[in-house]
Amino acid sequence: MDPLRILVVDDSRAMRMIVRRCLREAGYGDCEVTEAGNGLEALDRIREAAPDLVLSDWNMPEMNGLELLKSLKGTGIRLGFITSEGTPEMRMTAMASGAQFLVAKPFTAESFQRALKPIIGH
Amino acid sequence: MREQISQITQDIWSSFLGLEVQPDNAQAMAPGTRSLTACVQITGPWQGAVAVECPQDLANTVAASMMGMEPAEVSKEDAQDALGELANITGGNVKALLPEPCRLSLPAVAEGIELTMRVPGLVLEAEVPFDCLGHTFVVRVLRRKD
Repeated sequence: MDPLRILVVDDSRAMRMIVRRCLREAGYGDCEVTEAGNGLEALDRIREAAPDLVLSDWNMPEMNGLELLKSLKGTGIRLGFITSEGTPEMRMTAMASGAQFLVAKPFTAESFQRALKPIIGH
Repeated sequence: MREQISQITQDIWSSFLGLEVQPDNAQAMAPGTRSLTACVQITGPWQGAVAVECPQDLANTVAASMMGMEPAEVSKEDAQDALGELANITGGNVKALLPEPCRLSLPAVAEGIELTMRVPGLVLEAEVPFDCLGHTFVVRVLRRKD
């Protein structure tokens, strides 16, 4: 079985590394993880190799996470947000736009497990 | 607001960085300390900014913790990136206390010795110094004058 492919999108390199670490700690160390620094870079990565799941920050330069989510409509690629702005309003906007989940920063490996288990199934 | 800043900052630094921090009102940053200040602006029904000022040595420790490397391996860009992200997370958690819909800017980071920050139209709402590993860092919330 091919490993699950996850694309991590965040304008902070430090945050991308924390997400990678939490994925490992949450038991998803066998996933194939790639990175992008904003929505536009993410679209380039997706054209090169479509991921199974995108974990994206919301507030980014060039193209933000919500714009990225809208541009993925109809592709079948699932997206979850990882953002410092976990307000009820943003959760509603995210879910109404088709996001799978919203994990608020600061998060833990357990936060990832809770968010990813219903999607990945383990 | 001071108590909320204190709680938010302790939560972020302990759960995310594994670093214990304590509010320390007796402390001020030592004169001549090279430091970084990261700031995010909040706009909407409530307008203001959230800033985190941190000595360079502590910023390197923070970046090393976030990136899983040794402080000596941290580049200037890594430290700026890490502190900018900390300001972003702090600002996002402060924003959650404010009336919706507010918007958060991308973080801006400056570094130097005895930096002063002034944002036109904003006044200091709250300032909380913290101790972490013997270093003092400061979280400030500024608010637009009514």
